[in-house]
Amino acid sequence: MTRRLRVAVRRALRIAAPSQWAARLVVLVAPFVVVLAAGVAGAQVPGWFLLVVLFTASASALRPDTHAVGATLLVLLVFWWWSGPAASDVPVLLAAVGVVALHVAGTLAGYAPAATGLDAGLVRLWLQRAGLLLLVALVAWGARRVGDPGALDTVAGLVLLAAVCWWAALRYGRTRPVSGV
Amino acid sequence: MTEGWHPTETLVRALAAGAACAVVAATFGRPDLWVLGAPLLVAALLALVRRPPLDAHPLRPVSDLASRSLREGQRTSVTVRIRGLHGAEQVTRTVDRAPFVTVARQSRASTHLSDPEADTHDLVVDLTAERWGHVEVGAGQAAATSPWAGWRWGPLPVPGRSLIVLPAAAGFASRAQAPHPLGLVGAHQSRRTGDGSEFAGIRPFAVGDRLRRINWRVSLATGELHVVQTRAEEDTAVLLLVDALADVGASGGVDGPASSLDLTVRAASALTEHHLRVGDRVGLRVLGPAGVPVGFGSGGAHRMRILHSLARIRPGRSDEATARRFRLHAPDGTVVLLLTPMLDELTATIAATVARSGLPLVVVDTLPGDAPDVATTARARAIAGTAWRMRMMERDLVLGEVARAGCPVVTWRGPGTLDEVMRRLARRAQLPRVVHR
Repeated sequence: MTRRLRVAVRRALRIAAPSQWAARLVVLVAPFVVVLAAGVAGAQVPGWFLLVVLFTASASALRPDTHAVGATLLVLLVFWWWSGPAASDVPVLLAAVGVVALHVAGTLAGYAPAATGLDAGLVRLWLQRAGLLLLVALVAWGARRVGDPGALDTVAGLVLLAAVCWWAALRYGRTRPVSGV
Repeated sequence: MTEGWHPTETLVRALAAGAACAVVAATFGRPDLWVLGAPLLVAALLALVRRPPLDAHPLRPVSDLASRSLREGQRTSVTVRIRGLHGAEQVTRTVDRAPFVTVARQSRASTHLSDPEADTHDLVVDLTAERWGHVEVGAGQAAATSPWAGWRWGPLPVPGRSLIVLPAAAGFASRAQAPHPLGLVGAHQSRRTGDGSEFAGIRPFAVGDRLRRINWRVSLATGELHVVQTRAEEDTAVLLLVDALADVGASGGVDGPASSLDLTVRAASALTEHHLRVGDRVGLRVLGPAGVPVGFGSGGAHRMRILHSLARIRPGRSDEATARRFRLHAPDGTVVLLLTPMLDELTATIAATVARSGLPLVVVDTLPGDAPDVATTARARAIAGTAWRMRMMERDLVLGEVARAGCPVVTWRGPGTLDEVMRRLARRAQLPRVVHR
């Protein structure tokens, strides 16, 4: 069994493209960034939950083209809601970084089989998109800090999101083909 | 395989998690969940905004070969053209593995950005054919994804294209003359005198002799006109008899270890090239299931005909491959070159039959030097070794029978393989003999 595992790992190391390794590593690590943010915010992180996250994150890294990434995301969001850190704290931003990284890296890794190297233009495009999504999180976080919590939940947050969506749609309305394809 | 655009896991994930965050944030007064859910909602909304047209033409991947036939070890490329890509941002393509075809690592599978306004995208796969034969290349799968990875079409199967890999010509050259040159013009020295360049002797001038043949030195010395006599130069017919009844040993492609059929086919290719180059007429017969006989002929087109027939060879037995039904249909004087690993009694019987018919026959032994190493465990290796030794003993018996039937056996070693034995056959051809027909 151990020998078979060793052979499988060696084969995976050999066949996977470096860009896929990087994307899958991010998928594996990003959930723990969210857990770390919750811990920094004061939440108690039980050991069994770490195991659950490890399991779902590993499944996501192995099969990013399935709903495993979505399941990991839901597990993290439920834990965040259950542990209840404050919205205005900086760790929320750290958690948002983890969520965006998981989503973007899962999307990139899920584009093709492990042996397929990711197109550099595609990676650049998604890094820009990740930056945009982090900007959205930052705007939502900033708006929440300066305004009244009750009102912003329903009105200002939605207005800001709509504005950012409009801007992003204009900015990324057209995909630029990459030279050398 | 999925026809049509369908939502991806990315869209479902962003929409579900983002909406869940929004609902929980609004319901339970948890604005921090807005911070986590907002990026996901934005990603989902942008994917929905950039949704590809539902009435788009279906995706149609087709592949096209740069060259339909090539030699072992040569490179070519397959262009996979995907049509109907309107609205797609990214294309992924994978290539199935094909036996003895090396695909460049970056070509095995790739992701590419594509212009969403463009309808066609070309992907080039570079490959190297490692072994002769017919092989399907370029088959695989292709998929397209819309902007923000919201919608995907495929994966769709990409049909492959048939590539003919012609055997590489093993290095071969021979200076030996054919034993029975019976043609009109060629490079072989005939037994009769005639118009040629090979010196045969000097004789007194006779009516009809050409003046440019007069040897003035001898004529002055003797006081009578003498002329130089030369041998005529003729071509000959060569029949390549290829034994494809079995393939022994592992094949490692053009640069790796060779199986018995690899050696046989490459030797046949080399002999074809050589004999056609010197102006002989060459024919081909294959003992095997995919044997397409090629009649005698010469020239470049005939060479390609023989090479294509060699590329079609598959190992195995066929109903037609019986000694009783076997007929060579070869004209008198044809040199028969039997290329065989000599592991089948049928081959020995055919060799003896050909030898008895009076045609000069040379058996070229194409068994690889090393025993095939296919066993994985020590015990299996020991059993295989014993079996191989027993097989070799049987083979020695078959070779003995062939030698007793008067057929010379030479081991294929490339250049000069046939020189000595052809000279011996030429000497023997000048002796009277009894022929069984």
